[in-house]
Amino acid sequence: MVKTNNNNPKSGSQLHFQQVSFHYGQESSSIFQQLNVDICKGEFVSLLGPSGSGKSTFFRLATGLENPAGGHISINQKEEKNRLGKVGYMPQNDLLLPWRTVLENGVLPLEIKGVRKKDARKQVISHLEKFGLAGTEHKYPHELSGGMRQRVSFLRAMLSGNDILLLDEPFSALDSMTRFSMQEWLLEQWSTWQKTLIFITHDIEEALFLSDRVLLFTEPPIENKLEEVIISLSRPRDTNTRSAPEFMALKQDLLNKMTSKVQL
Amino acid sequence: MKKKKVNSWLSYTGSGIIVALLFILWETGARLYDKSYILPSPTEIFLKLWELHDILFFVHLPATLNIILIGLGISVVSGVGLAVWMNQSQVIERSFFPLIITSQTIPIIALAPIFVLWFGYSIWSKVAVTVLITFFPITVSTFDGLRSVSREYEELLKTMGASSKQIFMKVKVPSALPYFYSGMKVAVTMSVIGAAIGEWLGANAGLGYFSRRMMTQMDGAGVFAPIVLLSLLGILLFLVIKLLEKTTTTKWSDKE
Repeated sequence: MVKTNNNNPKSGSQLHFQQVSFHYGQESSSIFQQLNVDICKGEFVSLLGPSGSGKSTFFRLATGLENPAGGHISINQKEEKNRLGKVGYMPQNDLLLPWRTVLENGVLPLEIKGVRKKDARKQVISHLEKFGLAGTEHKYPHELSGGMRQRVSFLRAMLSGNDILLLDEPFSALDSMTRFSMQEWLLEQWSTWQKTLIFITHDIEEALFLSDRVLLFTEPPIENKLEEVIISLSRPRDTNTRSAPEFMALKQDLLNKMTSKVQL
Repeated sequence: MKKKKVNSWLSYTGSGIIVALLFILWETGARLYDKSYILPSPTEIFLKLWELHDILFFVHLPATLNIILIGLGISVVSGVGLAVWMNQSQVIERSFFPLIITSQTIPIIALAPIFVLWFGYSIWSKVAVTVLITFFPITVSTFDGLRSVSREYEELLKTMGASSKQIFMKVKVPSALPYFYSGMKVAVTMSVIGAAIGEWLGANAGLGYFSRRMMTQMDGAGVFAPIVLLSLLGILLFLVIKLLEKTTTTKWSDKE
């Protein structure tokens, strides 16, 4: 299994933080100090922690919206100074452009990459059915349900063509029934497309149900490494997984770890 | 949805009734007063419009429309240009925004004679007044529209590897369009006023000029007839903008 205290990227490493330090602005206190994180190809990793614990900062660093004050970030074992456009990102609120139809929203990352309009449209249309979006191509976002909007948003992130997808609390605004089915849907998509998924959440059960590995974010500054919990539940996972005794045991374990770390 | 539409039609019939009542009141009032050089009745104005239709529609209306279109054109190009420039640089915003606000505190009607002094009776004195009046709503609303784009969208496009030009074209322009159009709606109605004011002060053609000339001849209906045309022109321009807005911003705008 993966160890986060290893400083060199492993052969299967897809996203690697090496000795990364970061703080916002000039004077503000540090969020990461010489942090090492290694995420492998095809892994499903959740970042779990309360708000303000640095999960979003981790994403901003990974996508390239921010740059580390010290250390390196590598993608596919290559240090990348400019990561914009190299990591797919699915934001918390779907952020679909309201003046664009489903089809036009899906085409956006391809448009930016300079793919020909006709080819881009073809590519989006070929995916719509698998994403449960058949027949919605000419609808506007406000005509869709919350779950559908998130699926379009996921499709858009996927079409960025990157191997790593960062998902920032994508289901937090959905009602719990929709959230459950979206989680199962996401696992199906993950096994179909063989992407590396990094998923921010503050819902312990969601993190457990989805991930291979959960990284715990606590109060910043976070030094050296993140505490991790490996989720050994067998796949494919379904509704029954949620009530399995191992699931409950892992949940208790995670809860203990979180509450001991988070000062109220 | 459907119910709302019915309601809006009802409100139109409401305003229609009020307008009809006002006309009846005006007509009877004017007939009782019987001094048409001071208060002409609506029918007299309409007859005057018919009588003078040749000169009004083919000489004075085109002259005014010409001023309005040139003035609006200059305002749109320079106003949108300045808004984009201010959006891109804070230094430019800080240096120009106070000036734009100040320009609106100057009574433009008082400035109009100066323009006549500078540009004479040529078309440009009238265009200058029109530009000064219409520049403000276009610039400010476009600038607000560009500023309304949330940072989240900009960052999302950045993570896709978009250049600032792509962010501008794909997010900022579509977000700013509805704002631009609301600025344009104000601007086109004011452009009619601007052109008319310009023409009062110095012109040899145009609806504003004609109206003023009729005043010196104590022709009440002759004063009103071109004013009716000016007002219709304003409404027509407004509808053109509304149509443009509808065709370029499509269905998503009925979201809220």
